[in-house]
Amino acid sequence: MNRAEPRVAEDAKSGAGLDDRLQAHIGGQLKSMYDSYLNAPIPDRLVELLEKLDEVSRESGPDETRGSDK
Amino acid sequence: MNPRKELLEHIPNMRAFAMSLCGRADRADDLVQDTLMKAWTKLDTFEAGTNMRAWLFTILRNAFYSDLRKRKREVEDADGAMAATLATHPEQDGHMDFSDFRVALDTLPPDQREALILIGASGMSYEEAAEICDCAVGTVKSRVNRARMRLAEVLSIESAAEFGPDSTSQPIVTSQSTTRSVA
Repeated sequence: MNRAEPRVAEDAKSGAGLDDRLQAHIGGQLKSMYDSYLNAPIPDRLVELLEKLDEVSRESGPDETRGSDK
Repeated sequence: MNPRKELLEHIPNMRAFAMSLCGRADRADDLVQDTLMKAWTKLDTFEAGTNMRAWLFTILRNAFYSDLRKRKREVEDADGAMAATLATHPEQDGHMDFSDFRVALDTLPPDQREALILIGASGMSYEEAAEICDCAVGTVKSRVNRARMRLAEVLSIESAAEFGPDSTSQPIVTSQSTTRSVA
């Protein structure tokens, strides 16, 4: 049972070229879709959100006594 | 490193994962925003030196599922509506010749879609994916396999219809094929 070839792979091999081409096609489409999302510009609102979070935590000082000097 | 800068670096990957999961820019950005806020409050629980991307993906993935549950409760046929919207609304990300693929991807159950994205596109290892999805490595593997088989089924039927029935492109319909919209 160890290292048993998955039956799917065998079927794909015996099922000739179409299945292999289709799997290659699927893999390629998946990657190019993901990459197009990856390379899309970052919306301003997300950058601004991080800036705000950073400001707020600096003011309130979560782990330092920095903010408690009032 | 400044946590703001570090999180900023992970935004493109978080967006890519979110977009791949839900297929819509507005929802994806909401998910990323949600994830950033949660991550920020939980930063002290993150162990420095471990995999921040996997940690963020875990938070995002959980946000995706709770959002999905909420939407399912709100609108019963949300999935159908989403697929229809996708087919008619190309996003601003430029060329959309993978829209057939996108529609096919959205026919997958979310657990299979997520496994396929993590393994086939995001570059996560099976171990990382198992941790993100909170399941066994073997489960990730079988989900990826089922996702590939199902996509092949959907796309081979589509391409056969597109190119016409000839001897080289008969759709492969296995005994596993089920009705496509089991909902």
